[in-house]
Amino acid sequence: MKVAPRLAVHHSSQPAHTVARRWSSRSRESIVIAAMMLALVAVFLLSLAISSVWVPLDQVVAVLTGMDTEQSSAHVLIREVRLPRSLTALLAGAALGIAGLQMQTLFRNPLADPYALGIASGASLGVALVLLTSGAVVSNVFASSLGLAGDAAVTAASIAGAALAISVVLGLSNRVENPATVLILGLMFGYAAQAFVTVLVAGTDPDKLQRWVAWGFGSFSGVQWGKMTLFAPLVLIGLGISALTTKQLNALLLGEKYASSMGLNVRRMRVLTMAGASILGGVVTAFCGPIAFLGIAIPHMCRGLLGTSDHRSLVPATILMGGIVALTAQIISLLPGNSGVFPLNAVTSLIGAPVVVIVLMRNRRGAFTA
Amino acid sequence: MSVAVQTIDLAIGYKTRTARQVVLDGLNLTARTGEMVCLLGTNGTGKSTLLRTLARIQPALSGSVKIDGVDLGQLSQMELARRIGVVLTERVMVGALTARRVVELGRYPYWDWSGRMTQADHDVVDWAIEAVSASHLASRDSMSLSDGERQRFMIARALAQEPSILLLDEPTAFLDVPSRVDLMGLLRRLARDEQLAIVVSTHDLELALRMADTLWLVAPGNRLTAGTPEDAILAGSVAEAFEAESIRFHPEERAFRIVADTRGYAIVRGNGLNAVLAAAVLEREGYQIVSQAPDALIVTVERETTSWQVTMGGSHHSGASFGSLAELARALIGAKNNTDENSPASAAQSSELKT
Repeated sequence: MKVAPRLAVHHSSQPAHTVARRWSSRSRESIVIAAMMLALVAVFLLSLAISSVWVPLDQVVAVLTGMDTEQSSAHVLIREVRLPRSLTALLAGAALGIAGLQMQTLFRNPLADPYALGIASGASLGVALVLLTSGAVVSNVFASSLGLAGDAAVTAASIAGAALAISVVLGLSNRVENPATVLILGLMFGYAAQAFVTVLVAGTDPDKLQRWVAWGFGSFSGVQWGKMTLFAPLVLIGLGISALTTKQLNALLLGEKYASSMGLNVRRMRVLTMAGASILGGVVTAFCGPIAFLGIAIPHMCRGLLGTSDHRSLVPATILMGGIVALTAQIISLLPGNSGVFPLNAVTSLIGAPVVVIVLMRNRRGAFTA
Repeated sequence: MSVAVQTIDLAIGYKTRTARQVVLDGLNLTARTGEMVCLLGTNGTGKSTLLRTLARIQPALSGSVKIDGVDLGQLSQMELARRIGVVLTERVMVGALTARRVVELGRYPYWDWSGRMTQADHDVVDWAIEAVSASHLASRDSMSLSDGERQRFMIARALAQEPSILLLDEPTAFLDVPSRVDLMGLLRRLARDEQLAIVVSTHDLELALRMADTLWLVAPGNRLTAGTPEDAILAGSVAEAFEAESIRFHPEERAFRIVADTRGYAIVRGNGLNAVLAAAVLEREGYQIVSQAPDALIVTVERETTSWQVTMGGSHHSGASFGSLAELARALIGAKNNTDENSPASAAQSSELKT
């Protein structure tokens, strides 16, 4: 039984066959990524058109291309409110998706994401420390404009909190084999950070408390053009790190020992990835609040659609898909008639939670199953 | 046949801030290209530690390792990856990745920054998959492969690094028996055909004795002896490395046997496979096979069938399967024990075994 195919291998038909297979799996990935690009453009335009007031799509396009020179109210609305909001959603979705992907690969754990590993909680703690304790000097990053210095302080605290969380969890994870234990460590860190936040919240005045609660709902509306000069470059740095390390992430698919035996400097890669994920998770948490489930769900959606764990396709797909899902969630949360009633976080949870459930149910077929 | 791996007064073990635990020292070993070395020893004797030290996963305590004549410590990580391929025991499960892409990962030390596969890379990957005879499985998802098939692709991935040395830490641990034999045969073939120096640790002693060019045997007391399997058997190092109170190494069979009390003696008449198997049945039941003894069971086996006759004292028995022979042997021992205890039951007459 075994001899026959082995002999056949040496005939010329087999290599051609393998080449065809190779090509077809790559072409599926190209098609999926192209479709995602189109979908992203469509959702982006829709997000500019749909909100409390409907602006026809041709007018949206006219504003974007600069054809519309008259300063109509719709023009101002799109330029000053909707465009930065949609860009924020796009970048935040991409950032959370990439941070989730990096965590899943680094921890070899399908359920890892900025949330589960305590990154979001760490970032929240950083934000809370600055936001709730520093009086009038620094205000909520998206409540009013107190200049870039205040934003920078909150952002730095958030990134520092995220970095603290990820180093603690990764440090401990080197001592435990079981991936589930690592997630529990992350959750425990999250609870501890949350406890500190609760203490801070308890001692604060109602005005700040209200803003804190609103921040907790999550929102892409807080980043106006002024803040964008801080938000966008930081997110792009984080995304850039992931885009430049796809081959290293691929090597990590087989675990750190194999990666190291194939020539990867594992320690350096770990620090770089942790730094990237901290920046992405921290920045988004600072500017948009703790947004749940995007980090864990988006990489899984992409693996399912692409049919591969190869980061050379997975990283661009995750960036595109992150934008698509975040913009969709934003459209839903801002549908006419429910603004304020349907917080962003509720929408992302409703989208993300089923994905996580599906991953759990099909665990045997997903990535990194033990 | 050139020296690929050489250790000079190597000491391996673990160093903590306060203590230094030497596992093995004074190691002067060589592995040549085209040669398969099997590393044998009971658990905890330092097989994995040695392999990890050779692969530079952990540092040596003292002494040095030379890879193709170059000191191990002087190689950059990329150079090391181009010289040494490693396969570990652990099951690596990566979903949504074809077996071929797993092999492609072995090109890591040759990629430019973008990690793009060149035509040359694809050619090497094709060759590596061909070398482990797994082309027909290359487009399958690596999760859907059996353990043995997946281990083949892990070896192909190591080959894709185009190394001169393969280090494998118990690669057969999770495999079933045919896959084990298959994999060891594959490694042996790779060593010869691709002129690789292969060092593989295993618990499969009998397979190693048959297939290895060289054994590195770790005996209790932290001594490592190297040599061809036959020299090692003759020198008694194999027996020394593994023997315990209850098992004994039999050099002629190149296998271990359980030491049991002798419950009787038996003479087996006949030859061919059937006689050998009949002797095996009797040994399992506690008989010692001898050529002559006063109160021995005399077992005569037909050459081409499994029919047998037993003569003991005055009684005769016969049967047509080894199952019935075993049953008789058990009954005779039981009867003998009873007689020893002065019980009224008697041995000879009771058996009416005619299957």
